[in-house]
Amino acid sequence: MLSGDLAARHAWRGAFAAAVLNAAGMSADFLLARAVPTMPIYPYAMSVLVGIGLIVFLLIRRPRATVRLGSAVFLVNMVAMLVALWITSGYWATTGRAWTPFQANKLGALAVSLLAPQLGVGLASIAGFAAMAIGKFYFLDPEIQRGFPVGEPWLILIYALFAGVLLIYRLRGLALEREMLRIQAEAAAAEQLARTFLRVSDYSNTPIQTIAFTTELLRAKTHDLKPTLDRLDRAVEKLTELSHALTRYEDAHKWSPGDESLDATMMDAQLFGSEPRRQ
Amino acid sequence: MRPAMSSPAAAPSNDVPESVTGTEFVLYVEDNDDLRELVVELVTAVLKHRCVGVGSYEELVGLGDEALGCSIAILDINLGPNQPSGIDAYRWLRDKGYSGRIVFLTGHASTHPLVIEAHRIGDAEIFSKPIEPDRLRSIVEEVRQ
Repeated sequence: MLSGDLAARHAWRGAFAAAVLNAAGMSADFLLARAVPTMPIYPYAMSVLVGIGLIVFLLIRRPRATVRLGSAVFLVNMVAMLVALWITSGYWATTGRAWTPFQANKLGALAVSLLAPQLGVGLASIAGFAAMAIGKFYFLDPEIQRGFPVGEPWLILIYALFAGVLLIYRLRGLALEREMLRIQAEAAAAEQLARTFLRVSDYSNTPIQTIAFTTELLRAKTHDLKPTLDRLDRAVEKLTELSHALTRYEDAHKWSPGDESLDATMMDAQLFGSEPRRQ
Repeated sequence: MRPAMSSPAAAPSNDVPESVTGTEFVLYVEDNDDLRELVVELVTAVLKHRCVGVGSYEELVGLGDEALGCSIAILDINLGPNQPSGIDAYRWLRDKGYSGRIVFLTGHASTHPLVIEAHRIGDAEIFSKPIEPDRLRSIVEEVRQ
């Protein structure tokens, strides 16, 4: 439960950060693109609006965040960016000025490795950035292609490789962290259970002792009650066995300073949720 | 907590035979009133031995030197929250020069800090509640012999 909550929170934060980067990054890219006379506004507007819409959606759904929700939002955000980058990169390439191709794709692939909620979503997004860049390259006029720097568009594959490795490394680290938290939570619960068992045992031993001695006293005082007292003896034996069973996990409990001063009166409140009684 | 203490100097009740009114007695320190009164009655009426029950360290100290006349001291280890423990009672008895047998009785598990501390005391035996009546009988009878 705890690790599930943590995974959902990670997914929510990753999707939120991706949507913010989309809105902010595309806005900045638009400001730079004003120098390109023919650059259309609509791809930027679409991507930024999608980013803002997803931010609002995530904030509304924050109390009910799930991994699936984070992944879905992350993918929608990716698609919006890829569509916008597909359109705008074509205009950038045809400006005739010196241009470093597909920088947003390279940066995006690395950002995915840090933000993707799940491995599949992350790998698909990285592949999307790489495929878009390579695909766009082959859609461009061969004359423009020849003007690309050496190694392009294949350099994106190196970025994608690095991003994929970083993504796996990060997700494995998160999974390990969640597993550690789960184990710690289970250990704490087991320790709490052992502590409760010990207190139940401590609480019951004195009453059991009282019944055992009362039976012995009655046995000495009257012989008429032998069958009844024998039954009581057997009941005491069962209760004693139960008390011993409850101490079986005593090693799992680590005594803290002050624990030893807790007595039956305090245990009333702890075990039974009632006000402390007198013994 | 009720005082529930039968002083060794107190006159024996009609139910107590003369044979159990000697100078030696079993000293039982237990904060649970029911169990303390019961043990006093059991030891007196069934085991035919004189028994004095006190409910706290303070009551034990209140007995003064009179407590040192016991043939055996049976001490509950935990005498209540934020109260001196049976181990304090043990130390008081030994400091006052009592050299007789001392037995700890506890309802706590063996890992309880007070039980561990009691184990460190070499010359005291520790029994876990609940003990069988025969065990109590043997503890008292051994002292008689």
